[in-house]
Amino acid sequence: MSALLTTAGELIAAEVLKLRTTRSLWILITVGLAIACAFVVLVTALGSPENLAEKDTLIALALAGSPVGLVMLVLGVLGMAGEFRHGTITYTFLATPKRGRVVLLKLGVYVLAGATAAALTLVMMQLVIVVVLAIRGIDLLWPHGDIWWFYLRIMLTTGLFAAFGVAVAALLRSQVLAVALIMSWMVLEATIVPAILELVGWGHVQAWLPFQVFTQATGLVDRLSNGEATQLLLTPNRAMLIGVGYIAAVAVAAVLTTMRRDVT
Amino acid sequence: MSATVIEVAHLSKRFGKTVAVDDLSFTIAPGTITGMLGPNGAGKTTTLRVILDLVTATSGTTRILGGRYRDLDHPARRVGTLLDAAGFHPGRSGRNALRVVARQSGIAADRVSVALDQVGLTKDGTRRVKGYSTGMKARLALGAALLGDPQVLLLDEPANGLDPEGIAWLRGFLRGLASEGRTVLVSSHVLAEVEQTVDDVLIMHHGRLVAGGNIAELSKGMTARVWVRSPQAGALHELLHRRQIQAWAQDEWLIVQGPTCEDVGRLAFDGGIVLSGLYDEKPTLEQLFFNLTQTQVRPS
Repeated sequence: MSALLTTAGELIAAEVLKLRTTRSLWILITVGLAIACAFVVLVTALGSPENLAEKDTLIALALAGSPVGLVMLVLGVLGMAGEFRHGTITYTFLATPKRGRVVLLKLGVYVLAGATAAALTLVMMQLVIVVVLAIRGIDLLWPHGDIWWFYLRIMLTTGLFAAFGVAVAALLRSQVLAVALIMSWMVLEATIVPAILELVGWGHVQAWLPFQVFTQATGLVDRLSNGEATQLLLTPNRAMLIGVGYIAAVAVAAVLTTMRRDVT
Repeated sequence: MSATVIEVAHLSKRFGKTVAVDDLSFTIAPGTITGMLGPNGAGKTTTLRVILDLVTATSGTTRILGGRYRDLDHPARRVGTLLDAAGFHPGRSGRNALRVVARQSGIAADRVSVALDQVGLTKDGTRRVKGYSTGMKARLALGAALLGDPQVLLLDEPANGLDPEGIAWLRGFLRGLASEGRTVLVSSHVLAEVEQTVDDVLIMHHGRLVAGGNIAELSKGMTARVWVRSPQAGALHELLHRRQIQAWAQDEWLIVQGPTCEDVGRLAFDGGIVLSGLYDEKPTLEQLFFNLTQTQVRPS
């Protein structure tokens, strides 16, 4: 048991080292932060003082952190498929021949990386909001303490996005294929799939589609609609569970194929 | 240590309809340096990958250090490997790339500097891998194999990408490893690369083991060739032909198969033929390989 924990510790330390010593992490986080902060600056600088003074302003603006989820999903793909692309996976599997552990520990590390990136983004966004509103002389009304739950949910969801990227990439092994497939599905999920579901009378299934599930898991949709959307959509907790289920399903398929495939 | 470090028994591997390895069996004794030789496609790389649990055997078994590679405790510390397809992230420095390999293998970070020094990359350790020449990448891969200070090394075509100076360095390096008592299994398709380095050879062809053992023993029975030059080359050729001795011309020389230098010199003396050059050529690994695979080899 202790040997297993030592191996896990070594692998986690190696994954963290891999993450922080490649430029892709820092470039992607910077891009996500820049988009989120630019959006917040625009809204807070141009929004009407009456709207901005509302107590849900901070929660509504938290939606601007969504691009970080997408960015971390791409990072997850790069982190896993990049190992196959550059041939570093051979060293990884030589160090840990029980390949299932490699995939599972990578998933865990990327959940943490995603959550950390989301936390950093939320802190930066808060700072920007406080500074811009102070310059404009608008008093910021802090929402009730439940805002921390929203932030925690956003961090978790962003972590799950990163893990989803890792799982899909472990299954497909190709960076280009994984990114193309995920992006294509996102577009389809936002356009054609709902239309088809409506057409066949399965409109209620829309809420169960993967990216819909992740969006609902943050709880922002439910909160900003004052609970009205709950009638139609999944509750945040249920959405979070289903999101974890999607990742688990892809991860199990990824682990099984990774264990069976020859590394040539 | 047990009597064998690596055991391969009746190993076969198919990729679809292609038979990469066909009923291969051999053992490697501790403290030896063994050359796994054969042309491209002979099954050398596949065999090494099966031993390392990167490729699943269709049938047969492999054992290293007494068990399956996957069951070894910290296998990358005990078995150093250099594989052609293994690579490094091009954006990392050489030192950083080795740090990653060391960290995930549970190897102390101070071994990175030692390994870089061993392969002569200390000065270039801070450069990004994408700026490395092919030879430098080959040295870095060798450095990765040495990180754990392993007792067993599996090296797949380590000379690939090395220039003649690098190949000469590699020979000396392998000899150094062997003198330290390490067990080395090195594959190569260029026979001359390993000829001066290995104790034993495994000669593979079409996925099968054609021959295995000590080079001197395998070469027994192989006749040396004698190179002889004479201003009366035609007469000498005729004389050898009459004695049913096989000989053929190459440039200004006659290559004689069978008799020793002394025999050829005596024949020429008895026949009143003047010689201007005479030396014998010991059987090479290349000749041995072609003999074993029944491919006729003659100088062009």
